[in-house]
Amino acid sequence: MLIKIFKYDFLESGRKLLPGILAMLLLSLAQGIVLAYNLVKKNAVNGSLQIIFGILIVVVTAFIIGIIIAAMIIQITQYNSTIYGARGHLTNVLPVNTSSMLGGKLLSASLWVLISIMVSGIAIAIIFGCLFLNLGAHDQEGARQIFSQLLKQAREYGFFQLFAQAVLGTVIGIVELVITLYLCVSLGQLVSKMKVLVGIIAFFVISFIESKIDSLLQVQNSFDKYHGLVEKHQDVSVVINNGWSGIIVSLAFAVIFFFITRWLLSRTLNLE
Amino acid sequence: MNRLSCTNLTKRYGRLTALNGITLELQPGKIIGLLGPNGSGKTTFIKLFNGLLQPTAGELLIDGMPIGPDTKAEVAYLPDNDFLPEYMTIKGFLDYYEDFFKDFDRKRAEKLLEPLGLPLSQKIKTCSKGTKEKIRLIVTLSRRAKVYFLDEPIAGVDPAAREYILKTLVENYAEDAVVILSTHLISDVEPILDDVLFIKNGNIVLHEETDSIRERTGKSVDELFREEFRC
Repeated sequence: MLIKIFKYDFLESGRKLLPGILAMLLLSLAQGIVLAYNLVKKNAVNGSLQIIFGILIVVVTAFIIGIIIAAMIIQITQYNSTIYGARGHLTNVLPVNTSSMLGGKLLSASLWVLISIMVSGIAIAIIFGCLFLNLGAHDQEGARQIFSQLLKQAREYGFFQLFAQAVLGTVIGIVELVITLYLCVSLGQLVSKMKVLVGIIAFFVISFIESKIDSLLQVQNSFDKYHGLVEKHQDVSVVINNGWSGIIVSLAFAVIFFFITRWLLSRTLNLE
Repeated sequence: MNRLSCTNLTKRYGRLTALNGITLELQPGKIIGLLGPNGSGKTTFIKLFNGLLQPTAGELLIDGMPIGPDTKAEVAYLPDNDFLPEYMTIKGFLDYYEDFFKDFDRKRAEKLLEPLGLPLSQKIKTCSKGTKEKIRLIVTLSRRAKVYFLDEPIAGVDPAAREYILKTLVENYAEDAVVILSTHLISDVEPILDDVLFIKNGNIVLHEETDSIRERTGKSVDELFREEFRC
């Protein structure tokens, strides 16, 4: 049943998100073409084209940032409407246990947020790739050398292990964020009025408690802090071990929030 | 064995008591009218058996099981609001029901949809209000369920649609099932009811067979209802 819940939720989100994702990729490609063929300079005398190129940059940037935010908002509204809205009269009478219901929705939402982040990354890569093509042969060689130097240093400092850790941390972080948002929506439903406000307050309170627990456990989960640790210990393994601690704590929060949300759904659901 | 029972069932919304310690047992093979004026507790009663509300006190059982995924597999519920996923096509919605409900009879659903002349590829959001109501009724009655809860299925529809809905109900519900039909439009449903439950201020004030009511009082259920709930 979890897979079926996942399937329908994933398809429903896809209908809303896919057009935006495709538009972003096409626009970033258009932006890339403008950069690759140096169209801005070539059409310097044409004022209206310059304006279009300017607007394109703004739109592409807005899409890259906006698509991730849109993915989050779509997931929250979809959870709210299918569980607590009129659609809840269909979703909540399905012969599905609460864990499968919540798990299916969580899996779908997390995957869409991850996809939107990845596609944003691809859009940025397209733009930078095209920008690279625009460079002269000499500059391209220079860029290649800088890149290979960076790779060499990254290997020496165990960057790839950190990168793998960052990927895993991002995935778990997304799951944790989505389940936190689900929990906040469910907490908002406990009151009869100002549900959204209560949900928002709950989010800030939970985030505050989380950050306090993080600092109590001395979990360093930002690049600044990683850098600080490397400086302090002169040993990358310390940073890597600390990274794992952060991931474990994040996973623990996700599991705890999952069970609280499940409890709220099974014990306090009231579609009045 | 009782198909459906509740003991001391109570539901409060803050200070308001919607259901006040109801104890009830319902047997299969009957169409039961849950009759009462607006705000008497009909929808609350139905939602509690569907797990959409949590009781303040008391116990609810369907086929001896507490409300959960197992009972939901046996209950077909038609709510009084529009729960249809607007983005789906009619075919997609039939797929959805087929995916989740093992007792869903797709052929029956398609057969019932035929007279409406709707292409299965049509989006639900493009259907009229009346058509959406019929789609909701058809998918609900196309399940071989053990319990059917129909909450105000004929409220707000024209007389022709009412006739269609009641005809579809009588011709399609599983014979060994119990059908609980809530309404305040008694005269329309009276001919198809086996039993009636009068609900008033969260209490069941009458639970009797319709024939017995007519014999005992010499009145129709509609007349008795008007007398009981006179303002």
